[in-house]
Amino acid sequence: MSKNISELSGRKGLERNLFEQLGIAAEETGTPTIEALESLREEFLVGKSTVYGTASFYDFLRPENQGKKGLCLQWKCMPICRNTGQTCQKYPRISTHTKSEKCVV
Amino acid sequence: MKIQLSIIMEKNYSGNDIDLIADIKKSQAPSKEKYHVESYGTPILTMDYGDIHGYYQILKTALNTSREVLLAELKDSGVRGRGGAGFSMAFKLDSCRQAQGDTKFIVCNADEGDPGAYSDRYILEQRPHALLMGMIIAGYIAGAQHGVVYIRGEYPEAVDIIQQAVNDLETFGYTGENIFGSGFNYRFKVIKAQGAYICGEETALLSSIEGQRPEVRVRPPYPTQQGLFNKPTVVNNVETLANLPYIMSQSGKKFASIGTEKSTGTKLVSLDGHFNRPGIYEVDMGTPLSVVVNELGKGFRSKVKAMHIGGPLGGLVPIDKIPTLSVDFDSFAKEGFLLGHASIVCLTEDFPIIEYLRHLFKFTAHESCGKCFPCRLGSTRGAEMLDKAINEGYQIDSELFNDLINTMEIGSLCALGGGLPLPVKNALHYFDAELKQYFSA
Ligand SMILES: Cc1cc2nc3c(=O)[nH]c(=O)nc-3n(C[C@H](O)[C@H](O)[C@H](O)COP(=O)(O)O)c2cc1C
Ligand code: SF4
Repeated sequence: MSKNISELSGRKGLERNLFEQLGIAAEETGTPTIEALESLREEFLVGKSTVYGTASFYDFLRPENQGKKGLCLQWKCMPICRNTGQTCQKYPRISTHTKSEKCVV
Repeated sequence: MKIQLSIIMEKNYSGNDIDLIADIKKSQAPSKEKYHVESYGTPILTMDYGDIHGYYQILKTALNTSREVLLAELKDSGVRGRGGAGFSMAFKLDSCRQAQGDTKFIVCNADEGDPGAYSDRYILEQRPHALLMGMIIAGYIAGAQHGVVYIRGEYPEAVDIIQQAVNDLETFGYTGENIFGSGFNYRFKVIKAQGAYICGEETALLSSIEGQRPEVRVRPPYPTQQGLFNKPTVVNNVETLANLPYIMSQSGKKFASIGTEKSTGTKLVSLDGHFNRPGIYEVDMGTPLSVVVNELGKGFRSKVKAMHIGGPLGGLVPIDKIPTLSVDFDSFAKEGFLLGHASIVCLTEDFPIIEYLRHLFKFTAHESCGKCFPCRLGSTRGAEMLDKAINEGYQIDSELFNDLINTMEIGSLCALGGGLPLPVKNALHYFDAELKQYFSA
């Protein structure tokens, strides 16, 4: 992203922060609605591709992970499951397991 | 002094708790999860700081001392970044201090994404004021009036604890305007991340805070010149910043007297569930790895053949290398490994290394920001090759595979694509007997 756009998108800085607002917009359902993305785009004066591209990047915001939560497994977090000795096939980012779906291993 | 604790996480749930989620929600029953915390050597980060008002006298003294004196103290301490790269903290703060501009930022990287690492989480949840005071002092030295704590979304409890600690500081007047009558202003912002490993990379993290797609930025300019919102910014790891109150109260020289000449101070090490006593251990830099494995972790629960130390981009250390290593940056580098954030994840005897390699490539493919092609394409092609070798008896062309990892190592823009080849090369070197059936000569 060019420096100019970067400066524009940061126009509102930390107080009312675009990234934070994306997270808040996802709190209800686990992913921001199209309407919420549109209104953030207008408020922060950024292009559609910026807000859509950002929201779809994150495990916690992207639509296909709607309704799921990530929890850290602390010392049980490891690429190889302690119970089965297999790598976790479902979540390459092993430390992210979800609330509504059971760990598959 | 020896510190031993068992941390009980009342609101954190993990592992098989997922099966009990309905009951947990109904009964609000506290979890019985425990992990061990112990200091072996000098307790800097594991030390209880007691009464908060007494503790913040360190800040009061610091804010009444000139920036130059504090910076000199920091230089004396020799403290290096704990987030992975081991870069001098004093150098970064000095560089930010000298950069032009009225608005500057201190960003705390609390995105701790390395599987198996939870030492930052320990500090965030158990020693929040060591971190927050460290950030204010860093801000004072660098001339930054804003502190941003970017916390991994998988640590909801840590987000709440840090926000509460910030609120307390505001109530006590230890943050905000004219702190301790020093004329110095400092404000915090706590940001909850949304689940992307690459946001731990410092420039991706800055883009993330700005609400952009978290793609890695080309350097130069470095964050200390043009960082958050293009303003001079210092990004430091949680553990790095949490050392500052000790350095300022006890002196840089005292800190430098702990550890080794080039790796001063202590390091928190996270041990995973394959150890008999998983937990967080604070050791003086230079402590033999065998002490960590055998005395602190009490050995392994089952037969282990290798340990992946320092996250997915760290080195794969075969068990027989344990006696040659000590917990410090140079010892690991000399032996061709990487201390990184010092998380230890074990690979059991019966776990195929080839599958582990496939997992590493898949992890990188999933987490790649996509900005540069060696990583974006290389991680996926590598995973495909390994997948075919595991499932279809395909013989991987060694030359092609070496080309692939060398291209990733040399050509990647950041240490995600550039760091993956290290454990892969370690595996090819130390586990040749196990792997050679999958590769053509
Ligand atoms: C893919 C990737 C992930 C990273 N994750 C983290 C992280 O979770 N926490 C962290 O402090 N540093 C992480 N780093 C290192 C940061 O880029 C940066 O070096 C560090 O935050 C600087 O702080 P320090 O000097 O205190 O170590 C990561 C680097 C890469 C390439
Ligand atoms: S190495 Fe990977 S994560 Fe890093 S900039 Fe390149 S594509 Fe992005």
